[in-house]
Amino acid sequence: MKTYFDTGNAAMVEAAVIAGCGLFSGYPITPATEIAEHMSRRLPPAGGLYIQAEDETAALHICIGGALGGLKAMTATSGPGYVLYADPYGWAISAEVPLVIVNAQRVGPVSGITGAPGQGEFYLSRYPTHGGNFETIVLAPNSVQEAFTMTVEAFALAERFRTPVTVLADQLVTDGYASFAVPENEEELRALGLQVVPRRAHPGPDFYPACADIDIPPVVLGRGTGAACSDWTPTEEGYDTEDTVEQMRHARRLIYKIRAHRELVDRYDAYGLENDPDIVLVSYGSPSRVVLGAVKEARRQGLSAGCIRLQSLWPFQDELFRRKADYLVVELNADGQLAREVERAARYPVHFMGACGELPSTAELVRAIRRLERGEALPQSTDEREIR
Amino acid sequence: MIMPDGRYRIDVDFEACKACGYCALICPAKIFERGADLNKKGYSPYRPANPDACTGCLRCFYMCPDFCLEVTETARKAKDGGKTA
Amino acid sequence: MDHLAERYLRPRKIPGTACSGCGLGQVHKKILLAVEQSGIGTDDLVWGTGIGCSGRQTFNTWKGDNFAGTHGRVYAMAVGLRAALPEEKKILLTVGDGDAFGIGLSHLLHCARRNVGMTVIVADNFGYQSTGGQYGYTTPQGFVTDSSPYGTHEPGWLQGGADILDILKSAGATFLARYSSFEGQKAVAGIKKALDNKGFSLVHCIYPCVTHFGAVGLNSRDNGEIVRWFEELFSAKNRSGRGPHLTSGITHDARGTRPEFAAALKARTREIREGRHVPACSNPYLKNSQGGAEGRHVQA
Repeated sequence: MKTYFDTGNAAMVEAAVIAGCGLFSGYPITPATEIAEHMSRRLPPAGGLYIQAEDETAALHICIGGALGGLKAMTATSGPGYVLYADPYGWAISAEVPLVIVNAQRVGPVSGITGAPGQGEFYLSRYPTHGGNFETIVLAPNSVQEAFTMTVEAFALAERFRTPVTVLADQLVTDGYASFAVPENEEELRALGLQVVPRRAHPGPDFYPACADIDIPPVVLGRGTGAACSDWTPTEEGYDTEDTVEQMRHARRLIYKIRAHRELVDRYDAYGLENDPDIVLVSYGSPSRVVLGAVKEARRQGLSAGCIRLQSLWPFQDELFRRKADYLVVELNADGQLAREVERAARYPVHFMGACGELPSTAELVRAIRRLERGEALPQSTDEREIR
Repeated sequence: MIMPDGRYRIDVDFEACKACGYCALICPAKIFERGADLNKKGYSPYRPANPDACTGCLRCFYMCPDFCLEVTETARKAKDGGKTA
Repeated sequence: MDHLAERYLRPRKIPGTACSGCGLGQVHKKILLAVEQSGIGTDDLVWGTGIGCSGRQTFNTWKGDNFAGTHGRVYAMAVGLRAALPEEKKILLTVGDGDAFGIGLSHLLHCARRNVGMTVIVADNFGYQSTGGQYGYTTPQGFVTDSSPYGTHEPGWLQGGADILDILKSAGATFLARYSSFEGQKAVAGIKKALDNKGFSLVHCIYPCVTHFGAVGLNSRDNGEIVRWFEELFSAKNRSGRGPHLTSGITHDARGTRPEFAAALKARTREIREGRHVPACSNPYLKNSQGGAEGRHVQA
């Protein structure tokens, strides 16, 4: 392994190079700009193409075009660009195009705060386009090393499932510096639990099978197969149709190819759950780093606490919230997105601590755990965030 | 000048024709007329009523929007294999 | 079916679902004639389509490979596809006026700027006809449509001194032409040259919509009357004052004068990869010519 000291942005780029990324197209946006910059420097020596797009909509469409031509493609943005991806994101989901999409979340809504971490696209990453009738795959790193590994994994999942995969990071993960290990050969890659799935090409003119199978090569144009793919509801051959039966078949494929293979996507990390703690903290991304420290401190102080960190966000892992406990969800937003989803999945009380662009302190979290153990409610408005 | 001498065969695909009438509109020799029978789409297609008058100018061929009209040179083998005269 | 449809088009899609009298098939046919006369086979060309009548009616008609972009974005998709495909594969796009000159204009202009190797056929029916006949950016000024019941009130791209082809020329397109769908071999010859261009070509083909534009804008259901009105747009004698005055033919032929985007990008990428690239100016952040990981990372 080679060890580097750099940002999450740089780690994702090294991951893309190792995964065989053949095309990157992006548009400058804080805090994801560095990914584009690193790509422009690192891809060409590796034989990959860097295309700076005229806007984010074009960026993801260019990636789709590259993928349709047989290249592994990736783009990176932040919230204001991620929402512009809605159009091509849907195209890629429906036409089953493998892509990797990085979102370095900042504080919204709209342009919000550019230089602080946010977690406002939790739900948007589940529904990144209109129309429904699909499932999405979303991974969420909390460190520079994970920014590396999850990007490699995202490429592999995208190929196997024929779908775009979002790596939902945040500004602290992408801009933060840390040491990270980069495998130098196949063996070291496997040692990190990673694999590189080569790009294959569907050999026939048919577009998709009406089944939940994965590991089906994606449609590649320009190989003389007579392939067709589009944004229309497709027949199995790729013809556009207005037939509701065909649409239902297509929708079920898009949903169940992912739901039927959740074991390949589901990822989480847990601490202190072995003796059924009273309070379970739930988080993903940067907040999870403080949460882990706070849970350790709370346990040191004799409090009954544990934590779950989601490494994959969608499909949502409902099963993790079946344990009897009070759940405390910690997020980088004030509206409680993950909290709402945990509320849906859990049968027990769910509490929420969130702030815009600022991580909670260990002390605040420990105080919150103590308060919940006493059966007291947490103040919810940001004015009252300081727990007395 | 090409004289009309019955050298051209005109085929109209009865089922594909949508009876837009462009062939009749454009033909300087007034070869086409609207038929009486309905096709499966419910159109009454045009037909070459007077094909012997064809000079092979191909204006109908260029004008037909539904890929249902073919003009073929029959008397002499054309350079492109007799497809478009 | 005629020999063109048999040779190049999918039986399942032809005859299409276009209205009787729709001129789109005339444009479609001219493209296939150009393909035939250029000796292009179904494996040599990938056919992309936009949205609306012009896009959807031509989608997946080609016996070779096909793709359809979302509204106005097929140009951006074609940029990525161009970069991925070998140089000898041609990309042809059939799109409408709303797609090209409205929602997709930014991407279209950037394709012209980059001189991306593709042939864009804008099959223009003077507005949004598949959604029921709303005005677009080439709808003649003052015309009544379903969204301009008192006549259009915005300037368009073809009148008042504007010409969309001039804008595309300034943007860097290397081949531009304009025809009516009624034209014969002259239009076919223009499309052949467009296909021959290694860079960005656009051919603007005006065709009649009889169902909406004809019925509402021209207040006629008579195909003959509608065709004559369209023909007059290209006639020097057309001084009725209704509609733009258009000239048919090649308006700009600069084939071979600018490098094609993807070919240049790939050549440059190859040079960088092989360490042969000589930058125009020095970059203090690139510590070695390979731009490798060590160029910036601090080794821990």
